[in-house]
This record gives sequence, C-alpha cells and structure tokens, in this order.
Amino acid sequence: MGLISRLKEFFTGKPIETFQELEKDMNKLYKKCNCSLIAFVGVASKIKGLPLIYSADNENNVRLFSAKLPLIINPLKNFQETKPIDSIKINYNNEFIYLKPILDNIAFIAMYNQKSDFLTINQWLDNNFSILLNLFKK
Amino acid sequence: MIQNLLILKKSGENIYHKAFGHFDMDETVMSGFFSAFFVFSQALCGTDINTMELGTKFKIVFDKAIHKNNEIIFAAICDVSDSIINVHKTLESIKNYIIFKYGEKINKVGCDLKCYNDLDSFIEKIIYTSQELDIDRELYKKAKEILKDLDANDEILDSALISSTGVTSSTDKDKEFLNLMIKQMDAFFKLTKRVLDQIILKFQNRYIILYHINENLIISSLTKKNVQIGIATLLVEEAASKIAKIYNTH
Repeated sequence: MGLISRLKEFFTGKPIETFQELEKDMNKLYKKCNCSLIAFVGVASKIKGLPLIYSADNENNVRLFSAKLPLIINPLKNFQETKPIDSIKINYNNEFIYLKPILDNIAFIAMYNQKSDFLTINQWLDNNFSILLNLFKK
Repeated sequence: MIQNLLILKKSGENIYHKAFGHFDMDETVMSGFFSAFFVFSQALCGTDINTMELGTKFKIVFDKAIHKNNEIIFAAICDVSDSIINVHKTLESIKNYIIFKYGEKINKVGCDLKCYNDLDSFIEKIIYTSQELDIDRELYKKAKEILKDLDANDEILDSALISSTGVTSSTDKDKEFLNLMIKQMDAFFKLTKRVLDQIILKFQNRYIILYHINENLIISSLTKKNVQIGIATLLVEEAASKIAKIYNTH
C-alpha cells in the first residue's frame, strides 16, 4: 500500500517487520469480516489526519475519513468528565462506523454493514490491544 | 433516561437545549460538533446519522426535520440502556410540536426557543412521561398480581411488563434480562422498523421469553436453569392472556 516508508518515518526504531505483520493481519481481518474499511489513523500531533495502516474498498474514503476523524474524536474526548470514552459506534441506516482510540494520537476505525462480522473485529482488537499499544508507542 | 435534549440548525446554530439528568455538557461545543458531523456523514455515507453509542454509558439518538429549506437536527443524549424506539417516538412528538408551533420563528436567524415557557413545559412533560410505563395504576396492580403468580411456578424466575416501545416500570429498570430484551427489540427495530413482541432467547442455560399481550404491552420472563421450554412458554402465554383479558375489560 506504499505506507511502509511513511510508517518508518513516524515510528523510527521499531522493527518494520512488525508493521508488515500487522498489515497482513489487517488484510486478513478485512476480508474475513466483510468490512468496507479498517484502518489505524492519526488523530493528533504530527500524524493528525494521516491514514497509517489500512485495508479498504475505496482509498478515497480512507483519506476523507482520516482527515475528518480528528473532528469526531476530539470533541467527544471530554464528553464524559469522569473517564475518557473507550469506543464510539455510529449507526446509519445500513452502515456502521466503529472508532476506538488506541493512543492519544492514534485511533482504530472500522466501517461495516449489517452483513459484516463485527464480533470478530472487536475480538481481534481486544486480543491484540496490548501488542498494538506497544507497536504504536514511540 | 434522556439526559439532554439539543435542537440545532444544520448550520450549527443552537436553538434549544435542556438538561434533565445529572449529566452536563457544553451545548455550544456539541452543536458545532453535531452540525459538522451531519455534513461529514452526508459526504461520506450519503445518509444521515441515526444513533451514536459513546462507550458503555451514553448514546445519542438523532432525528431531523426540514422546514422551508432549514434542516433542524434533534439530538437526545440518553443512557445506553434506554430503548431507541422510545427515544425516537419522543423526538418525533417534540419535532411535530415544534414545527407546527414555531416553524416560522425557526426560519429567522438568532432564533432561541428557550424563551417560550409553553415549549419548555411541553418538552419537560413529554420527556418525563416517556420514561414511565404508560399503564393505568389499577390495571398495573392487577397485572403485577398475575406476574407474581407466574413467578411462583417452578419454571419461572422473574417476569415483568414492557411497553411495545421498550419502556419498563421504574421498579423493573435495573433487571439485566429486561435490558437484554430491550437491546434485542432495538436491534430488530433498526433492521425492520417493526416491533419485536415475541421471541425466545437461550441465555446461560436459561430462557428469556418475550410474549405479546396486546399492541401496547409485552410480557418478558426469565426462566430458571435447565427447565423445559414448552411448559415455561405455556405458563407465560397463560399469564399474557389473563393480562389481555383484564386490559380489555378495564
């Protein structure tokens, strides 16, 4: 997808194979769950608005999402005073968008429909959350 | 319960806000966010946003009205356990009232509906009554007796009434099996735009039975572990028929 070099730039010091493995894993997940998009997107700092790793039907959607995602995530960060929101699920008529902040500056996003297997996406995130945290931490 | 109601123009102009619960929010920030989000949703999905779940505590239910080229957004911030069907119904009533009574005023720039006391009273009344099971007190007392007899059977652990819009009585609000049923009703409504009033779910070696009483009321029962589903269903059916009978003669 041509993103490896960009990732290298942002996450210097991490073995690139790990990101490649993540990319492969995400591709499998995307196909298995029948989503239209899954991605890790920058939501703050110098990576704000950038798609980092993704699998998608339509690459234009990835760019549009990545640019707009900080607008969604940031106002909702302080929605609850007591603790930050751990996930956001947006429901349209037949489509859903799922957002999960991973770090302060990185969020996971999935776009899917009624026929997609959302449970597997959620399970994959839960099972790999600590690996993802370590991977994305600078 | 509905914690906050926010009404705004799609341009981001906030025209009404009222807080009902303990949850406080900055309505100016949220109006700007909702407005931007509606525009973004149209560009990306070609449709309007329906609901938004925020973590495990809150959700936002949206509705929209168009009056003389003005798009008006209605947003209800409520508890995640609230029935979406019921919140939609409440928003629909508020929307119809506002368009009918204040449609012309809304078209003007700088419109603030907060200064109309009758609107305030209407919204307060409709929000508070929408959170309670709409049933006559005497009738409810008799129905509770029937449910008590039902729960006395070896097969049944607990039973309660739910309205067809997914509202329970205040004494039943924290029952886990009812919340599970309301989620099923919401999911079914999202898919079909119809009310789910009859289903059996198997849950940790128990069954949850949802049974139609009439067009307004549904009975929901949680069985004990490892019971015969046939007998349990017959008992629930019998109780539903008794409640329907007293409802008709009341």
